[in-house]
Amino acid sequence: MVIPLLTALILREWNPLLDFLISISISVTTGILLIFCGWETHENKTKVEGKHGFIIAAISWLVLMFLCSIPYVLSGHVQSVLDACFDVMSGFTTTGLVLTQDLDHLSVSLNMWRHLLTFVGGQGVVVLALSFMLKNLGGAYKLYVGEAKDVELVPNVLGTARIIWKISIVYMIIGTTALWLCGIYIGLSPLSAFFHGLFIFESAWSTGGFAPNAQNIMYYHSFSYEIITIILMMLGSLNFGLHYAIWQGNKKELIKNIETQSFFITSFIACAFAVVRLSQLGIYTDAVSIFRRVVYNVLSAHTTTGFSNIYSQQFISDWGDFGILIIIIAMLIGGSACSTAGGFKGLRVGIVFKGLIADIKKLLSSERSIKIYKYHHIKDFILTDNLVKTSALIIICYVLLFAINTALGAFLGYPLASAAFEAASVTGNVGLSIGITSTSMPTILKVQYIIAMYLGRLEFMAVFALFGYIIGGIKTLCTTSVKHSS
Amino acid sequence: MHNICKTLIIMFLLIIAFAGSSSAANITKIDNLINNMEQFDGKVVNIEGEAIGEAMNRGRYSWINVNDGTNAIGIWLESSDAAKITSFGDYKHIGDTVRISGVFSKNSLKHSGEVEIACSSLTIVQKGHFEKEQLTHIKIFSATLLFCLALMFSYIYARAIQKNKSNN
Repeated sequence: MVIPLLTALILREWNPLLDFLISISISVTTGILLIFCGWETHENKTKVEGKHGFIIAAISWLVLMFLCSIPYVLSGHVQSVLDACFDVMSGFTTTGLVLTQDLDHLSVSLNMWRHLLTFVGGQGVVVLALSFMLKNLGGAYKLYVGEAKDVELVPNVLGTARIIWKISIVYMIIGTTALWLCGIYIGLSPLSAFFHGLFIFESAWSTGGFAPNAQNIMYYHSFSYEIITIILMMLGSLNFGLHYAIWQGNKKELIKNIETQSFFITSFIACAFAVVRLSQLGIYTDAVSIFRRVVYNVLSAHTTTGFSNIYSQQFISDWGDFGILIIIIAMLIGGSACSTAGGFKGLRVGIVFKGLIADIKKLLSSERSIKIYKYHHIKDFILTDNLVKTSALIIICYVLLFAINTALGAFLGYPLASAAFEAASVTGNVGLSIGITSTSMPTILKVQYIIAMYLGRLEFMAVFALFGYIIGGIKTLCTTSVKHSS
Repeated sequence: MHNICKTLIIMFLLIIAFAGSSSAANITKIDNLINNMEQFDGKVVNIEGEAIGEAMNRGRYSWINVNDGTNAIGIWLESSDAAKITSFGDYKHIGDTVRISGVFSKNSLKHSGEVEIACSSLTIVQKGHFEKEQLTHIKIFSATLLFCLALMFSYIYARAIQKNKSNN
């Protein structure tokens, strides 16, 4: 919160300055109280196990959601604490759905806060803590894995976390400069172009989808600005391991990696189907329009960014059921594992697809022949049944969550296609909206969407571990009280 | 003479009343335009709202964005018209309220599929202004109190760390 506080100070935004001062004070006090609660762990008296990693990651996100919502509430731009929590969770999970009101009159410092949240959320809250704060904590790897990050760039997990941040900061400098120059070129004032560039970079790289104005990317009316955001959101949706491999000079990895292969194949198919269908409908007549309005939105959905240069109503009026279906599938597949993207990830799609091919080949080959199947992801891995099963299990969890969200939306009276669209958007942490997400939507749907964004981002395991821990605690409590009473 | 005066006054009032209602009826809400694009596509529409952000100059023409509280839309207009707007809405400013008349496009051929209004006339209905921030005493007091509390906790924490180090 120091960065938005300084922004408020420099730009003389006095109300936000006080809001951030209050928020920092509450956060510091809460943090110190929590440190005292876990003093034994701090002194390394308690060994951090795998389950603790998951639970700490899950609880950290919840505590942070409440603390980070304070500046929103104090700003007066949200109608309730729940709306503020929704926006924070949307930012942290890089979803990008918005309930904040009157975005066009938001202070620059609060905009800085919104976009910082999504930037930090993209790299991982725990990854940030590991990079800058915890130096000698045992079980750091468990915390790291708890946040659905599993790539080891260097043998040391703290080193890996720092490399993730270094990669992001280098791209931040390049991306912000590109958008800043483009912003000046399209007619923004230099200072405004800088802030727009920084905010849009943070959103694009983190595949977040927030923008400083209510019109999102439509505000800029610029093809060049859209091209830069396409490049940034595609880079953001790639695995940090892949970025690191390319930085190390291993450029072939981009072609050999199962995840990039999967991503480019599914992106191409999704774009091709959407382009053909919308051309048939006669919505867009020239190639540039088709690229800007169709390909842009499909890629935004597939990378789980959620930037849009069309109105949400246009998905219903122009895209038709098939167009909506394509977007839903793209949103659910998402980007790469261990990237800033959401969805059930290209790696898992690739593994399950290869597993299916391997099974068919096994069926057709002689029973005596034993063949080992491999896939390439940074290095060669053997495709085991267990790996295929685990990947399929996570995909099933995503599909189930999507089904529950769709059913709830439909139950509350929204049309099925709209309910499914919005459900895929929250489940895959995308942020495109068909119009359901608004301050007037039912409270139960807001809560469900918060849970879905949270589950989708932490890829279920951390949240399941937290639920298991809570249920286990309640069971123990009940057993103890029964024993005492008897 | 008295009757003539009465009639003239009534006529004058009626003209004002009808003129007002007819101009108000011509104004279309932006959300209405977006929800009924087919109906308004290629037609001249009138909107009224606050100019937000800033004008983006693209040579002879410029883009501005107008928000009427229901939604926002891009307006393509001559740069000389855009220059008439002196205040754009942001955190510190209330933008000029502008009335725009122009052709609405749901899929502009000129701008590769933009939803826009090509402005033919712009009128400043109300001038915008700088909005002075109001700081409440409660907020200042709360910020000071909570900041002191945080400092106190930080001090206790630092002492605990020091004590822990000296024990080891």
